[in-house]
Amino acid sequence: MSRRSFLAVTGTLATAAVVPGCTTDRGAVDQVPREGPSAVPQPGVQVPEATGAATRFLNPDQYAILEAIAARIIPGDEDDPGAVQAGCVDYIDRLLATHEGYPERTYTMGPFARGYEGDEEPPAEDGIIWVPADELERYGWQAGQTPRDLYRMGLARFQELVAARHAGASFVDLSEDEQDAILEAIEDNEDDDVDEIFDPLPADTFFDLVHGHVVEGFLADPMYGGNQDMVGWRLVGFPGAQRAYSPEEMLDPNFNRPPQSLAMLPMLHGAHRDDTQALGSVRRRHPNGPID
Amino acid sequence: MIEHPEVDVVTVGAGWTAGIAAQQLTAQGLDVVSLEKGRAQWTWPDFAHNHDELRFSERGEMLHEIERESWTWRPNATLPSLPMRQYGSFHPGSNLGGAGAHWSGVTWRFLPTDFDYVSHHTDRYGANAFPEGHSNQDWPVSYMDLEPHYTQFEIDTGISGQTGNLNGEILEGGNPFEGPRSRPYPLPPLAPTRGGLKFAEAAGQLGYSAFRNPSGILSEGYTDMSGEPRAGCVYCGFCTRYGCHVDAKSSALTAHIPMALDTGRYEIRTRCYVKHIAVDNTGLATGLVYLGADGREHFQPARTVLVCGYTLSNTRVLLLSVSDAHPNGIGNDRQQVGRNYTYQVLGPMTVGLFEGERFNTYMGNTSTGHAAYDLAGDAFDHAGLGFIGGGQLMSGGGERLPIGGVQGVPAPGGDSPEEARAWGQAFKDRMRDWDSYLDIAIQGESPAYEFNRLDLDPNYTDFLGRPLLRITFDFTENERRMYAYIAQRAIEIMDVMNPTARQDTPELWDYNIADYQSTHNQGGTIFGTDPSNSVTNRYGQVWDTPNVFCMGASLFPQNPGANPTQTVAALAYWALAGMREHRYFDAPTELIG
Ligand SMILES: Cc1cc2nc3c(=O)[nH]c(=O)nc-3n(C[C@H](O)[C@H](O)[C@H](O)COP(=O)(O)OP(=O)(O)OC[C@H]3O[C@@H](n4cnc5c(N)ncnc54)[C@H](O)[C@@H]3O)c2cc1C
Repeated sequence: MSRRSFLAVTGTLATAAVVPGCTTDRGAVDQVPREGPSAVPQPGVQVPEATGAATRFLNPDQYAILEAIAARIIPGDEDDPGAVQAGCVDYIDRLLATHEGYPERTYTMGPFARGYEGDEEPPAEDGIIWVPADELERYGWQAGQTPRDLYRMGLARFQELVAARHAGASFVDLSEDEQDAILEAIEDNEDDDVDEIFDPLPADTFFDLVHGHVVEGFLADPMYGGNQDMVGWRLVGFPGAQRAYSPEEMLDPNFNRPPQSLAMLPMLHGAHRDDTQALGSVRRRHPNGPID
Repeated sequence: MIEHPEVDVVTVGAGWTAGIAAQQLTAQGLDVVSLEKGRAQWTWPDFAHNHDELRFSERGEMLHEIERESWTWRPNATLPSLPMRQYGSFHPGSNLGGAGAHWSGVTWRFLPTDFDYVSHHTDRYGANAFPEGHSNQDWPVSYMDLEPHYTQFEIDTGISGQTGNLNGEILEGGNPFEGPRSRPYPLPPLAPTRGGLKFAEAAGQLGYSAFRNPSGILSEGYTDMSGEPRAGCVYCGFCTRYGCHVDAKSSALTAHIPMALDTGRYEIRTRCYVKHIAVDNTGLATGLVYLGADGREHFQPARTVLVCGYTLSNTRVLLLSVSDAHPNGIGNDRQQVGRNYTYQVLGPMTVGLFEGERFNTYMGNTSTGHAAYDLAGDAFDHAGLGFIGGGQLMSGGGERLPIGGVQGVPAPGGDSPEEARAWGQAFKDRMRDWDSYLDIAIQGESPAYEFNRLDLDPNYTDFLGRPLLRITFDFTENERRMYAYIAQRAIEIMDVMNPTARQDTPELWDYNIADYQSTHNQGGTIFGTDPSNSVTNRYGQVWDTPNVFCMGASLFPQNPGANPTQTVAALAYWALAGMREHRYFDAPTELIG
């Protein structure tokens, strides 16, 4: 094998004040530890164990409300599992606990946008960029809060809305129809009381966040805590992490393979050289090369 | 500031174009350094265990660090620009190999008429055919200039496809509209999908010629230019936004970068973020200033600078390279930088649900689908249609994964509010059909306009406090007409496919920065015939700073409706050949001719 004159150094730019053994000589190779867990757990990085009822980020009330919401987003029972049976709220709880509240890569610098109605742009204000309200949607995610903040604020306001509309009741006590009416109201974000109670947080932002996370919890790899027993994948008929399919299988209308998690997928590494050789993947072996 | 010994060439980034340049220049005996802001990554071991939709597709593990440096966008100059805070419209790459490490691999040559765009359309339809405010221009290279380099790239990396036009002879099963090629594709096309075949059959009944996508993913084992064999595709379904675990995906990581490293003349410094190009008092470049992985500022002197950081970064690096000699940034002495930013018209025009049928769409990859070029470019007569340009039809690609995929299932009962909601029992029932729908998508042209451009944002900065790049862009009436015309043809084909339910998008939407469309951004440092119409000459050499070259789609004066990378790569080969032929490195000078 030929020499790789490759200089690798590590540490994110922001935190890399000290890089042990960093050298800039051509040909040098630094072996320095990987940085800490990035936005999403990586294989080999510790993911907290699923905890069932004992939560990490959410308190029990929040957990119960979110579970009731999740049950309306993907309904189910033991015979036909939905979000609750898949453990979607466990997924969300671990997500918020594990990833520093930044499950998505997010640019967080101000100023922040605020919508206005009508033709008259409001007077300039520090830290605010005024945008016609009907254009805002084209700009995508503009919230300044972290997902953790959004869950904290959103759930509190959600409870307030339910209490205001149903004489102090909690979401978990409502009938399914009543629950759906509340969810429609925050998804559409068009009723005055919704706007008032959630302000300045757009209610639909909160809905979209929860909705997106429930779907993820239902269909992401079970190693993230949701999709327990791969019920989501079984429902949609997705075999999960598979190494390969054949051209014939691509054309087979009755193809059906039991799903498997990434955690069940045999690791490709040097010890399995023979397996991997069959796939040709060991060519760019850099086992002794830089791993930054 | 830490100063390094001078080298012949330094590159911004270590992606597709930088890798190609490093391989060719080190083979010539030159010393090359690449400064790459991302981390090192290799097929082995980094891509070995990556079949994880959440981490790669949803969270963008391999994407550019948007949290540190984003882009702002506004639809037009009357509206404010806001940052892309979370990933939306496009997904530039980071890390060794750049976006090339996780691209989809669809590998087109552009059509011959895409190069003489303005003169061709003027000849055929008259000068009035062009939309108001357009700033399209002919490319300073022709299809025949690039043909040998297209071919070289296909052989060097191993491109799969069915040849449609061999030296003027139209061959069965390929793209009958492609320019003549001097050699056939080195590899047969990838295996087809059920959906792609269904589309091809219906399109064929209506007189279109659908064919299998050409691809930078090996359909069989292949020994590429490095002399080392690589495995063919295993159709695992984790392709776009993933590195390939069997090395079937061609990228600079597979041949170019390792070959350059093998010479001992190439060094890549990862986690090194280029800030700007330094110049001397005559205005020539002296090297690159960058933030090193150690958090300190470094200077890498070089005789020649290659700007290979992808369209948006290329433009921004030039604009941020302000000096007494270049008060508006490098390449910008005549206010040309940022001009002719173009994008694409890309999305599904119609979605059909085929209840009870399964298409196995989670297997394969984008390139396993079919395309038809009958409505692309100027392949059809535009007389009386009220627009120029066109788009290809695409259908039947694979790698649909469930988190993203369940959102696309059309409602079988129509668009009643209950049916349309992406939650509740109706949604759950629809989820079961996530593998039973197919769409017909367009990949359409993006002509250039005076008002669509790139510059620096007045309000938002990167993690170092320097202005973000601002994109001003929207679709116009021309593209709306083009889209509406082609969408109707797609709906006709979908009807022949006979779905149980159909959901159409017959009108082009307003461009928005929130939805992913494609990572095909072009322009900003365009090439041309002279300094009054471009930033660089036909070799990518910057007019006002001739020891700086730009590589990548930032050179394109406008975008034809096709994925850019084979042309990006061919242009890199072309520029490097130009440097060799002109003996540029013996006596650095302007490349003329
Ligand atoms: C998801 C996805 C799918 C795609 N699919 C296709 C496809 O099917 N067909 C096709 O033709 N094209 C496709 N593309 C586009 C293709 O990847 C690009 O055209 C190609 O990679 C461009 O090559 P490049 O060298 O210009 O940039 P890149 O390959 O992206 O390399 C640029 C490198 O420069 C680095 N860099 C940038 N700025 C700096 C800086 N300031 N300092 C240090 N380093 C820097 C980046 O980190 C990156 O590694 C796809 C892109 C994406 C993201």
